[in-house]
Amino acid sequence: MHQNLHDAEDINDDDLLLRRITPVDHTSLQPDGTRILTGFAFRERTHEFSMYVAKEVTHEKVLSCGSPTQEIVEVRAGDVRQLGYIIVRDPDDCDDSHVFAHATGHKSRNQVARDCKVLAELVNARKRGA
Amino acid sequence: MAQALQFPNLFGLERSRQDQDSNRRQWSGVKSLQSPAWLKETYDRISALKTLEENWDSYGGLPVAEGAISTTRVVLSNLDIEDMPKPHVAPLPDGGIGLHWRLGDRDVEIEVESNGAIHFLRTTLGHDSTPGDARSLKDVQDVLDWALGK
Repeated sequence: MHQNLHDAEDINDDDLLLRRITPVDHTSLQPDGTRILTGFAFRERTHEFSMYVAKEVTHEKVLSCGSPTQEIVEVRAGDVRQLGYIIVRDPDDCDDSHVFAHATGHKSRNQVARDCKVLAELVNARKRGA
Repeated sequence: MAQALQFPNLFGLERSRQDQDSNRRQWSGVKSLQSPAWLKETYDRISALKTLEENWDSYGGLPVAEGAISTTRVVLSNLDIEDMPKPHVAPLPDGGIGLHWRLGDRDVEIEVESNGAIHFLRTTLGHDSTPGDARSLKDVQDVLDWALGK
């Protein structure tokens, strides 16, 4: 389906990628009143998850393409690559900065779920200041 | 017991009598006679997912499938979960339903696919996660028991 996909070399490992989440669906309320991101936040039908390159677009622009209740989370491009994905440029109707993460090899549904959990916990750790 | 025996049909699998006998033994003792206080609220949340329309997540997510709703309810109603806190219920982009629990440093995500197949992800925070396919209610129960430290 995807041919000749290549990792976007102009997106550095330290660059941040933006993803819309729906808090009521993608964050889990904890007993202390805080909310934590779940791995469900990165799941997509195609097992490839969409993001936008933060240095090229504003949060407001990304949110304007979603629903009113959505928020933005940030992940490092290097963290996505370390899990075995390339970051493919794919300008969409929302913005030219749109990319998607594409696995470099076959990943089962369960493996993708595990990768999404890693990304969610990195977001949670950053939020805690860890 | 009657409900538990109906459960395999939700997976659409044809099982031999030997398989059914094996599952009956495997599932015995799982059904709880007590329901946690949060169960009705969780059922309501699950039912409310029916109202989601395509692209609910702004990434092309499918509406939640009726099969995922019914299977999730059957699973919750047949597990020993009175010691568990209320799960977070989430729609999944392929029409399934996700359940999430975090107890201390133990984190569990259960996924019920639109066809009734069930997967789990067990995570000890700060360590690697263990994913798996649940082939029976006992497999799901084992994951929840792990979360409780049983």
